[in-house]
Amino acid sequence: MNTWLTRLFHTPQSREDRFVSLVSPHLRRMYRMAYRWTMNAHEAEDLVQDVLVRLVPRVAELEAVERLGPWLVRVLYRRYVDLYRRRCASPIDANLSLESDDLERRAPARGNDDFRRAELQRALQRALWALDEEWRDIVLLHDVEGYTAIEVADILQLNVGTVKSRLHRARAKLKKSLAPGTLQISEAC
Amino acid sequence: MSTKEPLSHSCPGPLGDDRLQRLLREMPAPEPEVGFERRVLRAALAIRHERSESRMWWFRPMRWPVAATAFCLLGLFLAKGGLRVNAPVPALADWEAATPRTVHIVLDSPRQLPGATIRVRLPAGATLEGYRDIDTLQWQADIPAGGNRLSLPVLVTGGTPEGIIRVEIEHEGARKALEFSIPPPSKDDGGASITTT
Repeated sequence: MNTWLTRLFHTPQSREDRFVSLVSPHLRRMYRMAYRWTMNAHEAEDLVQDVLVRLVPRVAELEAVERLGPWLVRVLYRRYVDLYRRRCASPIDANLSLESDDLERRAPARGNDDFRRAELQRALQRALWALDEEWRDIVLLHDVEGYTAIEVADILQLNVGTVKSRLHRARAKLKKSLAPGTLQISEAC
Repeated sequence: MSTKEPLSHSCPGPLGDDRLQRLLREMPAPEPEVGFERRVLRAALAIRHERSESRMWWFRPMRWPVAATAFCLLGLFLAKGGLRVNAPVPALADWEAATPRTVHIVLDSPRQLPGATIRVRLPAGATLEGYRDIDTLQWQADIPAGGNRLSLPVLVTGGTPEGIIRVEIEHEGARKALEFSIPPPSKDDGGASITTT
């Protein structure tokens, strides 16, 4: 078939189809990152969806992005800051409480090894959440999700030197938090 | 001790960068629920369709007959009795007219909960004053030990909405969810409040 004839019968991809093709490969990683920030599955899905809603009309811009994965995470991060962190100083009286014995512990316990691992992970999680937000973001992106320092700098809009120095300090603090005498393991080795 | 799990992984000892990074890399994150991709993409595209005013589908040449037919049908429909629509989303005017009802939630905490995450989810037809375009609000706060009160300025349109207010509190991986019905408006001040402990 001639080229012009091919073109005549070729239906151009709609904007929606192009959008789906572009973002689909990155959705799970966006979700994972959203989960790391929000620590809640429903919030993570809502956050990803919210970002997608905003990006649908920007297909041409998405197509021009060289490395779309980190770019999407950067948009996700900004939206997360807008929706969640800036509401920390909510005008609503934030005094609320709960009975500690009612709490649902999330960590699984599937035998001794899994239990020990879960306990260690929980201690790490606690240590991670005790870090300053700026440090924690860098650890989550670099050490947990595997982005490079340059990508982290791009996502968080920092310079690479700042990322590296904060990462170094964050790791030192985490190591200190998990040092012998600080971390309690339920079973002796 | 499992052979799969190195001794150094779970036993106290000096923690090097490599080991720390390995632990961090292994930090679990759940997979999204089944159908996640389809769900978020469909929702995002549907919402954008609703908002979009620039698609101008009617401008495409082959759609003119369809548009003309629709126009005629609409004219007939209006002539026979007008348009009655039950809008699922309250209009801005409805929100403006709604009176805030303060819902007080009072609970006791046996200990301090620093950096707890508080999340409030509202049913359809209800929103928090000052946050009208969202149904879920989340923030972090240090919850002191003892009695505490959360006051929610809830706006309701069209009487008491079906559903409940869900308040979730998370602290260091632990979570508790509480659910409350929205009270009817009181007669004296137009608002209403409940106290739950």
